Amino acid sequence: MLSKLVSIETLKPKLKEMRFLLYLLQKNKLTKLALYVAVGLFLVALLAPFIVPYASHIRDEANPSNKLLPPSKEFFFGTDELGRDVFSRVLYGTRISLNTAVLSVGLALLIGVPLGAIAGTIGGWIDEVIMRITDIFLSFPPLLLAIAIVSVMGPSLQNTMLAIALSWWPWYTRLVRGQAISLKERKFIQAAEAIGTSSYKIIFGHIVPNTISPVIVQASMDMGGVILTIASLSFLGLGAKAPTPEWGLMISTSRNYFLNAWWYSVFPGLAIFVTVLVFNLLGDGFREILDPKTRKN
Amino acid sequence: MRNSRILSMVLVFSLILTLLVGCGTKSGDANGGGEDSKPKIAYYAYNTEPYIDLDPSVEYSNGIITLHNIYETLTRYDDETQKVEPLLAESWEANEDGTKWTFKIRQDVKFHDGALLNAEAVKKSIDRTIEMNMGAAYIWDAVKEIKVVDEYTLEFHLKYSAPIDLIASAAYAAFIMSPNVVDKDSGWFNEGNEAGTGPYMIQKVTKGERVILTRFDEYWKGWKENQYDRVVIKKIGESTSRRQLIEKGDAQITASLSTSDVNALKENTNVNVIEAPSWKNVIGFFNTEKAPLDNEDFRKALSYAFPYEDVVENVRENQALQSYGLIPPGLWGHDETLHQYKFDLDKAKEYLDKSGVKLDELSLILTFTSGNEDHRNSAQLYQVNLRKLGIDLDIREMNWDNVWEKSKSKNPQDRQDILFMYWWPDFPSPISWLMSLVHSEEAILFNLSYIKDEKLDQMIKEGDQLSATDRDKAEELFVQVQKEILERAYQMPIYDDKTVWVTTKNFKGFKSNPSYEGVVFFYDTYYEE
Amino acid sequence: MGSYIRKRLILGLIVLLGVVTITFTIARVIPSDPAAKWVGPRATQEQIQEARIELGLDKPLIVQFGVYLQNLIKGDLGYSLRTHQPVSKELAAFIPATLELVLLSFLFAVIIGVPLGIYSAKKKDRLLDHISRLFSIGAVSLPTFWVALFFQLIFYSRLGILPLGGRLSTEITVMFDIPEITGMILFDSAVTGQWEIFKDALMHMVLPCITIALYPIGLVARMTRSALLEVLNEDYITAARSYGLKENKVLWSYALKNTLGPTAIVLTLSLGYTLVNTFLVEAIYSWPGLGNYVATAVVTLDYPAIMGATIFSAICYVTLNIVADIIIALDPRVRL
Repeated sequence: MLSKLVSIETLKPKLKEMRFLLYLLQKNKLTKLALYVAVGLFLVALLAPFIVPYASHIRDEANPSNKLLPPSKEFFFGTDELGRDVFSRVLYGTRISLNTAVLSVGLALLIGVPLGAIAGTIGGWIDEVIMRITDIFLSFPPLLLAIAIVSVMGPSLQNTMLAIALSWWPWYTRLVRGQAISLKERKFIQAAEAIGTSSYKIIFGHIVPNTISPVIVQASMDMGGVILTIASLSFLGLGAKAPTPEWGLMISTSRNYFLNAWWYSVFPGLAIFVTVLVFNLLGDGFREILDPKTRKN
Repeated sequence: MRNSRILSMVLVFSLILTLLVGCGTKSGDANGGGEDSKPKIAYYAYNTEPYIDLDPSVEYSNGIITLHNIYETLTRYDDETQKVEPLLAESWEANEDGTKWTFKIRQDVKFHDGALLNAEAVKKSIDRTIEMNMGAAYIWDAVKEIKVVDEYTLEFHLKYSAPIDLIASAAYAAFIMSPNVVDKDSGWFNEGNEAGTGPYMIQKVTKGERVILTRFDEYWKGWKENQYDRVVIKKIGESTSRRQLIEKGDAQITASLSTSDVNALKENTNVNVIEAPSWKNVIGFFNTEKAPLDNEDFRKALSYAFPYEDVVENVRENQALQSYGLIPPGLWGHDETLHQYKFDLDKAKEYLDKSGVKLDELSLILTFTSGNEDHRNSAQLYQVNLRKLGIDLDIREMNWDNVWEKSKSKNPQDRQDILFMYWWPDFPSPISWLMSLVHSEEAILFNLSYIKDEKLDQMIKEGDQLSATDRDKAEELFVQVQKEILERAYQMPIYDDKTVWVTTKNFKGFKSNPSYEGVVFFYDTYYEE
Repeated sequence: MGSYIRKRLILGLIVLLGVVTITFTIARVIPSDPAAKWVGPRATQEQIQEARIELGLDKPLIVQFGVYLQNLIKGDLGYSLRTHQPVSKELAAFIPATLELVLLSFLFAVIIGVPLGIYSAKKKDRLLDHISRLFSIGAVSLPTFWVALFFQLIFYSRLGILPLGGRLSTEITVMFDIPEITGMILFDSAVTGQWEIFKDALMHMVLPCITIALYPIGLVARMTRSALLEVLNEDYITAARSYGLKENKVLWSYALKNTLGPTAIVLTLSLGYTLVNTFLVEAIYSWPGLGNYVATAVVTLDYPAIMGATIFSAICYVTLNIVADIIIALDPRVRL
């Protein structure tokens, strides 16, 4: 991911800075647009079961006699090989993708953040061991570790999430560790240490809460990459399974029909593109305003 | 200075342009039929690797599409006459109880390495396959000993009666190779070496990608004008890609296209679409050892809830027929008087009530091999209909190894409820279905309905013996077995697939033979404007 | 400096050991029985037992791991369960095709990405910068497998100017003896002067290369832009400007030089993504490379093949990372 390649340790916003951040984000028109679209996507995901024109086409119904119909007033994006409305399924796919992505990232945070906080606060050999483990995980080309994990565990959305989390957590460990190291020098932590607060309390009571905002920023920047990874795994047959309306799976299925029914591959592909683009634009916008080097301009 | 920027842009664009323009001059006619100086090339766009193992004793997979053009078998099965025809064997006969078979071997047949075919060579080839005991070698299980009587006469002495004429025509593990190479190991063959009697020799193989064959000038049947000099078999994974190759005339023949691609090609006047029977059929296996599928009425309900017509018409686009029993058409043992379950939700409901099975939150697990579009679509349609009965279908599309592993779990409760699978025979006999899928097994292999029915076992065994001596009697018994299976709803035969071949108009002489799945006998084909 | 490099190399070795351990662990979670797969479906229990001993699966896990490591050092990655061929031999057969693809994509990435980045930096916050930004972020947001399908539809099916897939056209493979020096057809045919093969191979590479290059193009453009902007703010550039040097002179002679380091590093690091993209598109382009090999191995659960390919890719990736780190260490101007 683009975001990984920029020194992340320079990001130090606090929660109260968030509003200022949003203000800055909106100054760039493209980023502003991306922000609105992202909010819209989350709304679609949330309301999908209620707003799709053919809710039963998600899994309860199939009309093979209507199959592979081109886009029309009745079916905006045409129909698939079982006569289901592609528009409804693509829309519903937003829910699947965002849900899976949020859960994967959440799981990665759950592993990565505590490890990073422990490594940064305690230091010493524990730090060394944890950091070497992150090195090892980061030595797998992205996606490859996930491919290996899912292919042996058996493909399903749950395993996809697990695999993504397992290959993503080291990034958060590194980020939080850096934060923890600088926080450790701050007065309030040193004061807590002085009065004999347990290191458990220091880590989870003081360090972790104070790293939340950069972590959230980083996590939102990662959404695009994660969504693309989910779609790629599903495309390889290592993710969602029919009849789940997952975009990557839809494209994979549509391969057999794409010369006759372009709409079946085009729309899920566009959905992936737009969603990933929006999150990447947001991420890029964040980086632009948070990176002090480019901020000067 | 500004120029340098423009220069770099120009450079980039000119590079792209050169590439594009360069491609525009793509040479036109790829199959090179017209000129005499050019060899005539037949290109078979195949959906997966042209071979896994080039050792004729070992290969138990798609590789037969390559091997049947390089090696030959003693006999060949003709699905039109439903009879075994001579190939490297001129004639044969069996003793009364079918335990001793005598084969006369054809004379003046040369192997690619110059050796001559005789009884000794046949014995050595089959002995090699039996000794290596890889792949489909089990088909020779009945053979006790092979005796060379004279230069061109051979005797098979059997442990029990078996139809050696059919077995010798098998698609796998029945190839005859030169006596000079029987001592070589698989590694030697896989380097691209061979020594068969077939019409083509290997020119070059590229593992996982393509095979190039060139004609063997001294082939015993001789050569006529317009036959192909070279054969290319290449892996083209995507259906749409294969379709485009045939539309452009780049490839001469292809198969395994998606139904929608086939439909589109039917409209195309430049290609021939050939729908031929195949011996591949799809069977739904009910787990008869697990509640509630141990209940016969419940299984009948499930059989009536399957949308056969929808699947055949819409999923397979009529490139299949609903099955009558387990044995597909074109093979002895197929009988159209057998009962066909029809899609009928009312009847299904009736049997459901009769079964007394409580439905609360009942969820059945259906497994099949991942990547199979037809299984996937059938499963989804089945799911929709079962939901109308109040049954939830949990579709598990898995790797074949995982499907199989699950089906063999120690505890029947851990196994799937329903399994979709293709079956096709290794040699042309219904026994392949009945022995493998129905006969009881000590260790689970392919009897994935876990049928343990002594009466059926008895009938199958008896029929097997009779198939060597009295094929009509055997057929009768096999039909009886199928009738019983349907009555007890042990299994749900779904449809018999058709093979759909697409060829260019100038590719002539091709005939599909279901007993050799995917094989194009290129010697029979020729080029004609 | 020497001690840093030594330390970095030792660290790299430890990391590789970890990679092997993780891969081995994953492979042993595998639910199905490798021995049963090895002997095939019609095997008897005895045959499976024999195979288990032959494959060393009867030994304790730790011993198996030791044996695996020992063999790995010798370059032996075990046997594919599907084809019964040595995995290392199969990998060697498939790698050149992928390597050729990746290298050419990188070339594309540089000749398109760098100028785009420069342009973007020069016109910062102007319309062209926005467009270029949108393009480069768009390039990394596209699902490559989808792009591959559409390139085929347009350039083969509709326009008919580029081949559909494969490395060479059928006619060429039959009529010519394809030279095999490195396995990279473009290189081999150029060295032996067989330009007809070269041209054919090049045409077959255009679509897969552009598809795969999209990601690094976007990445390189973005990095070049931000590195350049950073450099343009440095004091010596400001000084150069204040001496009245022309803007373009400043840009090309001073600034650009200093962005080459970071761009090179981004390029090496994006190799991981490029490799993964080959996994997604090789099957579509019928490209007989590593990606196609892995895709088949995944479908058939051929775990020695999956492990072999994973370890091979990880070794490449780790090595490149080490190289990148050493470059950073050697060049004080480069800070990432």
